[in-house]
Amino acid sequence: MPAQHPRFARRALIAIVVLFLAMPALHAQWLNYKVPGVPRAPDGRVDLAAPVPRSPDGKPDLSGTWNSAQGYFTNLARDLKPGDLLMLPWAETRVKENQSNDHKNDPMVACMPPGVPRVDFTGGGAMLHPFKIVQTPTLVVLLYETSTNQTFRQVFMDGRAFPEEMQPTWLGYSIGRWEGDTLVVNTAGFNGRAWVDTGAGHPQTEAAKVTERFTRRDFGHLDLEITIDDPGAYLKPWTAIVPASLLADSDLIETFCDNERDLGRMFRTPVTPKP
Amino acid sequence: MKAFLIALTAVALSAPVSAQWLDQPTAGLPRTPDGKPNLSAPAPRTPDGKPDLSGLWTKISPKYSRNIAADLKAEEILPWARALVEQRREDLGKEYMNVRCVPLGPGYTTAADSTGAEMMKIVQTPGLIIVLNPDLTYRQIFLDGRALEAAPNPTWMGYSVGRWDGDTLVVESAGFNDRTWLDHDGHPHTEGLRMTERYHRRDVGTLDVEVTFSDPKAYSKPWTVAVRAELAADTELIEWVCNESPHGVEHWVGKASDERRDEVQVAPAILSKYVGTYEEQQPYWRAAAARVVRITVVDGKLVANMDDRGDVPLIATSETSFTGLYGLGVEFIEGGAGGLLVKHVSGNYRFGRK
Repeated sequence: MPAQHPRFARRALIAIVVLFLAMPALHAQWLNYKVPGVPRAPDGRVDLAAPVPRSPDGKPDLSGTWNSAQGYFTNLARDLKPGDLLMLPWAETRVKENQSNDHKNDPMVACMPPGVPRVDFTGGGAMLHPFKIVQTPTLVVLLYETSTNQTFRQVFMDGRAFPEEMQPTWLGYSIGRWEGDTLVVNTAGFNGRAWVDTGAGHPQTEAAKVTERFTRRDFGHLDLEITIDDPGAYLKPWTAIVPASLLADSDLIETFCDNERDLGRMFRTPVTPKP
Repeated sequence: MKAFLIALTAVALSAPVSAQWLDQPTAGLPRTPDGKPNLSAPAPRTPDGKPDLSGLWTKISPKYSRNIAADLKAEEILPWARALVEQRREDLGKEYMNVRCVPLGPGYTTAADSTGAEMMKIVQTPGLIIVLNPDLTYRQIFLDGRALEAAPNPTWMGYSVGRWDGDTLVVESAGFNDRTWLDHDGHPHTEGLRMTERYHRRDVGTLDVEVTFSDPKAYSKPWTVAVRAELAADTELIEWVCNESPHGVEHWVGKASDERRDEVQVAPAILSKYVGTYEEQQPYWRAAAARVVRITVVDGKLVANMDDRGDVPLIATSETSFTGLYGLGVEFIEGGAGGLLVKHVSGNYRFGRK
């Protein structure tokens, strides 16, 4: 890894396409509404190169609807060099399994939450599944459209520490702080069942700690640096950078998994065991 | 009996949700000298002078979460809608949203005891208010001046815009699909539903919500229900994922009317001893107040009503045991003088005679 298995790539594509097709066709609602208070060029378009806005407390205001770059949903490690990502043997085996069975055991296919960090990049490029940041001084809310069910995360900015014992969840517990102009979000308390990404099927364990560093470069661009520290699956922490762009004058639309209605249609060929 | 157990299973799907960060004090709450939240302090305000509705709220709506039309006359519910409620009851509520793992739709505000909707977290910013639900659904309420669109694409959660009417937040919603029920009993709505909510924070600890439903294709007039919410201080939401629960709908066999098969006739003299009002001795773990069951006799049959949700006929299976209380069983103790037990798959709940 992270080189892609050619056969898996095609199958993963089918799976991913189905994940998207599972949604009813959604028409625009308020998707061309001109959001007030946004810097605009003379022709009315949002000025994506304008400076980063600031909240009243002087912090960068990350609020907005953001679309992550394409490709990371398939493989978060796509930009990594050999040796950057070293898996424990069981994780190597799991990845091979995950890539060879049409994603039958991908929890997202069963309408479970995508987990962290996968929830940050379930769309990408032309397949829009943006997320929205709603920022207040003590709480940052991340609203996600995702390709299955809408979901959200709360990032507590009130200085609290992680609880000593955390009931394991799909999305974990998130606390955040500012490091200069970067919002640093630490998340732990996972149930260990989520996949890190979709095509590659990188696993996650309950030991995982995920750090997301959100830096708004300018009005229209947000860099999301994701570090996965999961000694249960990986020999060392690994980091990926997912760029995101502002989805101006647009918003989230609703997505819901309709009770696995489409699951039966997803697997076109019987799954054959790997040689 | 089967139907009885089955209906109970629907309720039992809801495991108690243990909160994390249970000991984490909610930041910014006014407190009494002993450190407890001062729930009767005046409602806080945002820097722009509006009441700040932000916080984690426990919704209290025992009556309307079960029967949103409890205050309507039967004829105010159009015949097709009445028939659908009856059909859904007969089908043991198998298509309820939490069984199908689809969102509750317009019912979140009034659905206080549905798993995943017991609480709501309100996050208020000047142009946008977010409502977060334990089942990981959310609503966006836009306060940036936009209007509801005339022909919205139907969705589960609808579209919401808000404005301030003095110290009351008024939220108008439309664009719901017609696949959700307004309550546990199965009152339907159409895509034409318009919902108006009025949120007023009485003090730090109390939020009053009035919800008006207008759906002329299903109900002959708009009507309003009142829901109260109490601040859940020093705790937090924890995710609840419906699809985690194996609902085993394939095992939900039978019909509600199967309860009639085991019906026995009980002498009027015995039934009359049961008439009275019974109050729960140890409050139900998710109810903010003790539940109350009223027992009457109508046309020689026992009739029950819990929390004003509406009268339902009880079906005798012995001189002391009955079924039919919205899927729950009832056992009278010592001719009713010893109270009654409401029987649920999670155990018996004891009610004393008032």
